[in-house]
Order: sequence, then structure tokens, then C-alpha cells
Amino acid sequence: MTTLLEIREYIKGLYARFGAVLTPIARFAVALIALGMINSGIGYNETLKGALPTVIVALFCALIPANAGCALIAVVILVHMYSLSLLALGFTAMLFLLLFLLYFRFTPRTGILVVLTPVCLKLGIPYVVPLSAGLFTAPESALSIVVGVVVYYYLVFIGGSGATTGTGSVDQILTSLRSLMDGIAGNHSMIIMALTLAVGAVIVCYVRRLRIAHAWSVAVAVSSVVMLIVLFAGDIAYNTGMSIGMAFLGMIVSAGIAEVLVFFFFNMDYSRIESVQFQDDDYYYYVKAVPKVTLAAKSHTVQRFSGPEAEEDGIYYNGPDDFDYQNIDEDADRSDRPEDGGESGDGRESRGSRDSGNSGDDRPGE
Amino acid sequence: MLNEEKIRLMTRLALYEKNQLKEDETAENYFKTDYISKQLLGSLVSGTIAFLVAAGAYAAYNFDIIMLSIYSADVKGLLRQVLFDYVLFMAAFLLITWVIYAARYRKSRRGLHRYFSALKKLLRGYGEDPE
Repeated sequence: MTTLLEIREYIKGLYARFGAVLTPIARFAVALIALGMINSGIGYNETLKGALPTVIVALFCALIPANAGCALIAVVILVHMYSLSLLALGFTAMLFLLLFLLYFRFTPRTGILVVLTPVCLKLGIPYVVPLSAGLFTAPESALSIVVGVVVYYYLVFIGGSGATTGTGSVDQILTSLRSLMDGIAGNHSMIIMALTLAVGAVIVCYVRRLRIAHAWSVAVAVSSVVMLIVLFAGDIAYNTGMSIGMAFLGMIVSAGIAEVLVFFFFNMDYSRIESVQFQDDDYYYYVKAVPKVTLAAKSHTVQRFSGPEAEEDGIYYNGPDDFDYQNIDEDADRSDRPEDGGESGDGRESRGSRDSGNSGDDRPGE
Repeated sequence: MLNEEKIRLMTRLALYEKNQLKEDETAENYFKTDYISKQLLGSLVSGTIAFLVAAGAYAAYNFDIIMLSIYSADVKGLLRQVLFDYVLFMAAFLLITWVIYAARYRKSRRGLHRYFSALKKLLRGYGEDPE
């Protein structure tokens, strides 16, 4: 466990240092996967399908805000649809307009989920999206996930039956339009998946807020089980031909990823819960305090015992008992503070002067 | 000299200013009823456009039935049905808008209250009178 905590602290430190670079890289990777998926499924425009345009668009997506990135990917889809037929372009534009009017009004901040959901569906681990969205965002994120599911199944459908969406006589156009609408509204797999993921996200949101030990892990477990039940019930009711083994495997992997997230963001030490009770004039307070599991990162201090730098610092080594290992950092801090008399004075005096320094800083007027 | 408490406080304030302050201040500029009314008006417009688009798609899908209905001179019945669907759809859409934006207004007030409390605490730390 200690090793895991050390790794966690190391990764957190790494992210703190290189977060400004790592975040765009992660967004670039997601955009690249999404664009690759679009190109392989509905890549009707040969120019946009190429590797260089794909990488350039993914780069743009990494650098602009998440919602603008979603809009850019939507434009790429529309260009592919235009290359297929005007009808496909019109229908897709209408679908996006509906999603924009009905959905983006309410949850504009979770637009990234609209891209992440199809990507995870393609990877076979869609359940990780509601699990993580439920842990970190509001229940409204379920809307974004539903939109992501609709977009994914629409792209899969049009990729499979794109050749039939041609233009021609009015009858042909109407027939194509009907087949497109049937492909959306009559797709039971899509409806079941959207319902499953939406229910999963809402359940995680609700359970993680309960005042119980291991609330986040319990939320992940309960939501996973409920999602499996909804998925299997939907499969039995509509006979969607879903692979139960793959669904089970995907759920286990998704729950595992969610548990890793819990470990990184909400790691509590439930064995050291403190329950205290106190009162004031109006209320009795029953407080339960759960300490976080933290581990101080190992710091390696290089101390020179010989050579010109050591002599300049006035450091002399007289054996292991002579060295104060506990106060290395305090000594270093003290030397930065002229009011503490950093170069001399014992630890007690300097701590006292540091306290007075703090209080003085808090109340400079005094 | 670094004061960790102040740094924490200022970081929290800066994060709030960056992510939420503008939105919360916009909400705070209105009375609750005015704020929700404004959002309901926006939803009325976007909901109506969405309904028209969806109705257009539905009409294209059921082109034959609609044409037969027109020839059988039951235009009134058709219009009544469309109007009923529109009212039902808008009622549901506006209800969702009302619930979401009422909660968002409450959240904005809470956020601003916390923000100004933290700001006062910070100013007190600098020896300034927050009032």
C-alpha cells in the first residue's frame, strides 16, 4: 500500500509540474481517436480522411476549449456527410441542431463527454464514462452521455448503410430519410445503452454523496451492478444480440478504471475516523472527520561535507551524531528569513520568531 | 515569506474567479424570478425551433399519411394535434428549464456568498477593513 501511495504522490507531483503539457496531450489523444473512428466509419471525404488533416484537426481540438473542439469534430462529420449526399448532410445537421437546442442550453460544460462516450463505446468500455462523470460532475452529465451515445450509434448506422442514402427522385429521398430515421428511433441497442449509462451516472452521483464509509467505491460498485441489470433486462426485452461476456468484461475494466480514479482523488483512511460532539447556543453538532491517506514525498537532500561550497556555508561534519536530520528544512527556511536571525540561534528561538512573523503578517497594522 | 493560509485562500479565490464568478455574477444581477423568466424565454425560443425541426422531420417521414389527411379535409384535426403536441413538449421543456435554473440560481448565490466571505478573510489578513 505504501508503494502505491508513493506512486500516487509521484504521479501527482509529475502532473503538478507538467500538467500544462499533459492536459493538451491527453486532449489531443482523445481527439485523434475520435477522428480516427469517424474516418474509419464514415470517411467519405478523401481529403479529410488523410493522416495530415486528421492530425492538424486533432491539434486544433487539443488547443481550443473543449466545447469548441466538439463543434470542430461536428463540422468534420458534416463535411463527410456532404461528401456522401446532401440528404445525409441535411439530416445530420438537423440532428446536431436538435441536440444543440435541447441539450447544450443546460450542460454546456460537460461537452467533452459527448466526445468521450463514443470513444469509450468504440473501445468497449463505455461504462467508465458514467462512472467517472458521476464521481466528478453533477447528475446533468447524464444528458451529455446520452447525446454521445446517440451520436455514436448514428455514425455506426450511417457508416453501415451510407450507400443507400443517395439523392434522386422525391420517393427515393423520402425512402432514404425514413431509413435514416428508423435507424435512429428504432435502434433498441442505442436506447438500452443510453438508458443504462444515464442511470449509471445518476446512481453514482447519488450514492457517492451518502454519509457512509467508502462512499465513492460503493457508488462505483452499486452503479456497475445496476448498469449490468439494466443492460441484461434490455437485452432480454428487445433481444439486441448483445454479447453478455463482453459487457461483463467491459464493466469489470470500467469499474477497475473508476477505482483507480477513486484511489487518486478520494483516498480516505476509514480506520481512523474521528467522531466528535460539541454544542453552541443553538445547535448540537455531531461531526465525523475522516482523515485523508497521505504520504509525504521522499525528499533527498544532498549535503556536502567537504569542498569549497561546504566551507563557504560554514558546515563541518563531526560524525553522525553531530548532524541534525530533523531540522534540515527548518535550517534552510531560517536562512531565508533575516528577522529570524537564520545564521545563528537555536531551534526554539527561531520557531518562536517564525510564529511572531506569521502573526505579524496576518495583522500588519498591529 | 510565504503564508500558506493566504496562498490557499487566494488560489481558491482565483479558481472561483476563473471558472464560476462571471456566471454567478450574471445570475446575481437579477432577482430570482427575473433570472428564471429570462431563461424560460430562451428555452421558449430554442424549444420552438427544436419542435419545428422535429415536426418537419416527422412530416417528411409520414409524408403519405399527412397528404391523405389534407385531402380528406381534416386539416383542423391535424393542426389541433400538432398544437397539443407543441404545448405538451413546451410544458415539459419549460418545467425542466425552471427546475435546472432555479437550482443554478441558488448555487450561484451560495458560491458568491462563499467567495465574498473568503475575500473578507483575505482583506482582514492584510489589515484592511472589509467594510
